[in-house]
Amino acid sequence: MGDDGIGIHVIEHLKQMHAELPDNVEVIDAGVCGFDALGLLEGAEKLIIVDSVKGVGDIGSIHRFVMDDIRKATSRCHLSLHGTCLADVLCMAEHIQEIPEELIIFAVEVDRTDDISLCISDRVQASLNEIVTSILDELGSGAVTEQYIQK
Amino acid sequence: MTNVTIDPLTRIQGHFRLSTEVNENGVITDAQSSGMLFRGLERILVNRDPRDAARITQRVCGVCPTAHAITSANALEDLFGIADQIPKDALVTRNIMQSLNMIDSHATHTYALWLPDLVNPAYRDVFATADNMGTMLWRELLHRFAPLSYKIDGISIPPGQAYVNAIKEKRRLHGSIALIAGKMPHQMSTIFGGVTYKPTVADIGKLTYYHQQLMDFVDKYTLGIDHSTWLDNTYRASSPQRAVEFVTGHLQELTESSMSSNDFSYSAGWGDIDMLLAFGSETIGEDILGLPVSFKFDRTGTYSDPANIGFLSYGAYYDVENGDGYDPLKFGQNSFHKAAFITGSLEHKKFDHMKITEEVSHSFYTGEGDDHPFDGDTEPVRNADEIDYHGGSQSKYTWIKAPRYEGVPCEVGPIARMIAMQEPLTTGLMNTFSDNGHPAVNTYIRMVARVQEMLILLERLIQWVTSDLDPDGRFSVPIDMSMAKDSQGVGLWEGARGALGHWIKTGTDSKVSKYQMVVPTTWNASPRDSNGIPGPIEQALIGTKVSAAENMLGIDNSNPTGILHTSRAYDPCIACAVHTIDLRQKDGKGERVFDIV
Repeated sequence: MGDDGIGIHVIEHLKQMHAELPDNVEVIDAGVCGFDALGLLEGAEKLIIVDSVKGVGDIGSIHRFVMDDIRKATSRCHLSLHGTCLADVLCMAEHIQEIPEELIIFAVEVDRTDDISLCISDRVQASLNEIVTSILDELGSGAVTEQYIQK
Repeated sequence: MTNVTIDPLTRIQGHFRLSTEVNENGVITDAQSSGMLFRGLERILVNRDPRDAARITQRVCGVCPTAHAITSANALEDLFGIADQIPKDALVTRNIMQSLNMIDSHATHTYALWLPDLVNPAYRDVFATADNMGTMLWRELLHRFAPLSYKIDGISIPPGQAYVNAIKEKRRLHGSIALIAGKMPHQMSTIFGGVTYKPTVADIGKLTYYHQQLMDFVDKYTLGIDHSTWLDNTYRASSPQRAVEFVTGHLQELTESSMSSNDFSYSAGWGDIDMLLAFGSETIGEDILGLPVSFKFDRTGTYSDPANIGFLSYGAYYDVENGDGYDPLKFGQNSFHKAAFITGSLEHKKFDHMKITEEVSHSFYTGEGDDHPFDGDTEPVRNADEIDYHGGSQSKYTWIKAPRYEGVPCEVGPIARMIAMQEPLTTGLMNTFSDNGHPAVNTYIRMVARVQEMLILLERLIQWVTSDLDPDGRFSVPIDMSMAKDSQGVGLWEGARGALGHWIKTGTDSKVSKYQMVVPTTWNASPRDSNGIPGPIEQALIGTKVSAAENMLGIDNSNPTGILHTSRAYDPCIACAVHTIDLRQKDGKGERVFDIV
């Protein structure tokens, strides 16, 4: 896992401040559930996904993607039920169900993903605050962001 | 001679490598099937509380954890000696969960993993030989079965109607299991002694509603006719011959009305199974129906020597007609899916789990001889240099062991179960092939058996839900840990892909001393044994032609449809057959050693 666990580290950060998040925000660890994630994509006005990405920029950099970027993605992994990627799930969701009007993906450029470890590397760790701030900005909760930065 | 290796094989579950030799006539002459990962779960269970097994063994994979949970519970109930007391309603609940999982798995394999093979670009060219009819048929296939993000010659093809709607049903099926099992994958309900959750009247109502929606999909897409009519005339036909007559008659009508219009759409009456039944087989499609072209799947994936293959089913689904309890070793006699060993010449024999052995002469494990799983070990080779997938059929080349029944490699899965229960359509079609001088078991019949089993189970499922389940019944019995001292247990069951067995032994401290799982894909993707007899998938590949429709348009080793279709038809699931390693470079001596994690 190693850096691949970035989403879980972000969730833990967000959960710690759960009381300060707006009531209508739900934080979910989607695991590696492939098509089983379809059930999680329904019923929200806005959906923010945090995932790791490799080979797009410097380690620790954060990329913001929207659904249009996913639609345009040309290379896709072959479909295996153990290798269903996020883009496959999102494209499939568009075909079979309603998806949130606003869908944002924060992709964090990671380093090591083949470590058997619960820790993330220093350069990715250093981006954690920026990811959380970006999420809070997307939620439009400026006050919460302010509190978070002060902490 | 050309080496054609597919690594990894896609549209399956897990990491699977197939290495073949193809001769100048485009015929596969040698094949090695390699599972690419080590499964260490059995070692994790040693020295643990046996009750953990039904939780931990599910983690082998998210595709059929339900089957592992129930098999493990069966082994534990045998170990604790309480199988005869398990309340009927707990058994009904397990039957419901297992059938939902099996239906889900079959629907996923058929629609998301296998039917997209029919829109391999090679078939565009094969069907183009049948002029306008072929072109229209190709369009219809794309319209139904094209997978997500599919491109041919750089042009995007929208995902097929059947494909997309099947994924919707897959989602519904997962939800149905979670409704009564806590979550899916990796359910919380099945424990030894019963189940932890009593389905409520509201759950039964919901399951009934979900079932109705599933049947709407089946009637509209899979069959094109009402499912009761289909099952009355096939599954409940008075003889195998009558079942085949019904199907060929039905296909004849469709063919006659469509040949002039070239309309093969759903509205013209063509269900997905009709497409597969008519165009999938040379014997049925070309010889009997007079179609100008077919996929010829009935000529691929056959076994050349009946002495070297068998078909095995342990049986599944508890017999709930007789109230509480079951016999862990005999339930296959009265269960819905029957226990049987069928020889390569299709002779039915009584199944006895003591005739199962596993050996490792071509697998990356140490040990010798043919051990029954009660005495089996999981000791991987310790020198990383021994892990070489390129050594050929004389060497060790896989992480999958070689299970044998009376020394014979066995195919497991829907085809074995349909033969064991003597399902009329399956056996009727097999007779048709034999009578016409062709092997009875092939890629085509494997796929037909899977779809037919899904249809039969869908019907049985709703009876368990609405007639057999009593929400006011009892759902578990208490257990006493002291009963686990110095004991052993056998859990036999059927996963979607075939026969699944767990064997457990405990010591004086009531902890697990041995745990062995022999899973469906271990049977199907087995390597050679010490006599050099290849496993079922290897045998099925040898003799199969490498390119589309029996090399109809020549040999194309870069698109080896013969390897892809044949191996995928077994619905291989490698996660369950194998697991993970941590490869580490050690010291300066150049010797690599790995640790099991």
